[in-house]
Amino acid sequence: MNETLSLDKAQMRYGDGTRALDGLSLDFPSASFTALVGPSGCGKSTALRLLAGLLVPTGGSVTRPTRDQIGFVFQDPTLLAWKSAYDNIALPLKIAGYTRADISQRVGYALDLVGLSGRGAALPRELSGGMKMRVSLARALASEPRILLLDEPFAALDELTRLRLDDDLLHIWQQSKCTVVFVTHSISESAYLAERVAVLTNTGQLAHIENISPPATREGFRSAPAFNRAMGNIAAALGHDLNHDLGENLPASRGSAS
Amino acid sequence: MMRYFLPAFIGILTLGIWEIWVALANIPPFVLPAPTAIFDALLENANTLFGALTVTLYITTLAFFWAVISGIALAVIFTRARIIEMAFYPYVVTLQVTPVVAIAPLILIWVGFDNVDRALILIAWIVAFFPMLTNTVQGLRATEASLHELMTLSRASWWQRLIYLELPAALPSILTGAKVSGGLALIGAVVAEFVAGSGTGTGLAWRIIEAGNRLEIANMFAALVLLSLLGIFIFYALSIVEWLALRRWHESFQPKST
Repeated sequence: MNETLSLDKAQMRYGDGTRALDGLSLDFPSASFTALVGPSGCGKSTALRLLAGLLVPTGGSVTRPTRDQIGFVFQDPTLLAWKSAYDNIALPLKIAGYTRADISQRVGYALDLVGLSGRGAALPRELSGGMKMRVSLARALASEPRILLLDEPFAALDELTRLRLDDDLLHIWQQSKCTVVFVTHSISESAYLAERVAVLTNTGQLAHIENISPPATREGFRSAPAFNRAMGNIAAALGHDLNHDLGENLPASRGSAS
Repeated sequence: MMRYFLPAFIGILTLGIWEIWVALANIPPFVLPAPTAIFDALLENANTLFGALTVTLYITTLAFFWAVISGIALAVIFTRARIIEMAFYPYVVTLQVTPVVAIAPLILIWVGFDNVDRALILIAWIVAFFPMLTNTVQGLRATEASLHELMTLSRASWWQRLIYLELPAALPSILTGAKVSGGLALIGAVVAEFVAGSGTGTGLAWRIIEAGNRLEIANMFAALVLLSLLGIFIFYALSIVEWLALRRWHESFQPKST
């Protein structure tokens, strides 16, 4: 089974000339947790969509396994409002042709994983923002993907819910040992979660790679020197970029470059 | 309570004033018959009028049915194949903007010789079809981009995408279109009956013309009352369908949150 995931000089230009990615090369080792950080419009969402196969690069190449081994979590919960949490999670499995019994077992497992067992019958409107995001996460996890791609998944949630979901995500990753690529614009979130943070410039190039060796349990990690050093380095990488390029090279506001 | 009481009160008041005024001012019944005279005419001609009502209802229902089927089908084709939309949309608009009264005689000659009903249904369909098409197109187009990406990631076939995502997502727009279209189907049926003229028409609209020719104004009003009731019935029937289909999940049926 080919599980390699990598970008090789990936380039993305949209029809209107907007350059979202400019020769980005990154390898994502199996079972690693990488965060992509960068200013708005730096192409981090574009990079994630290239990895998912939702976009085809205009230059360079992307190596990834087959699509059914990839789970994707969107910025918004992206749930079907007319379907229950259970049916939302079940839909991709149904489309992929799983049997009823298999679907039921997998959805149950996924709901359990995100702490929502017993809420399967609820419609999205009956759930809080955090719970909807959990359903969305469960949907990505239900097929037990080897690779989990997340596009600023918790950015719209309140701080407390977000911290809880960060910890839950870590737990899920440690249990399932899938490869995680996590796009965020939060420096602290990236430094807290990831083993490795890739900082992008707002022209879609790699500015810096910060390797962090966080403890398995992140208890107290936020006040650890390693965490603060990582935060400082990431901020410096971003700040450097901001000082030089802001104003002269502001990225055009392109949809998927968010 | 006031919502039902107030309009009922206004209605009864109007009818009362009308009744008294006609009596006091000695208005001849061939100009304006009293409400009681209209009610009498309704009872007296109940058989003929209800027969006519069934005919008009039949024409309207079939025209509406075909408007819904063809509107949704064409909308799906248009949203799938831009090139077909580009090729045909101007002609759909042409059909819509050409006054149906002007096309009706032609349709009656072509289709109406051996089957008048079919011609009437076709004319009413032309009137009812357009809002069904435009509303469905708009609903299909408004489907969230990330939900489409989800379907792409799940490798949904075009049919699965349509059934699981696009049609349910467009349902609110489709039902709005249906409410407009239902009313227009009735208007179309009346216009068609008017144009079809003597010897063919057996519906309510034809009863109105016939009664007018004979100066039986009370009968005219009686037929008019039934037409109004039919219109109201169609509107509320479709509103109930809308409520049944959307009340559980669509925000327009949720209590306003503060």
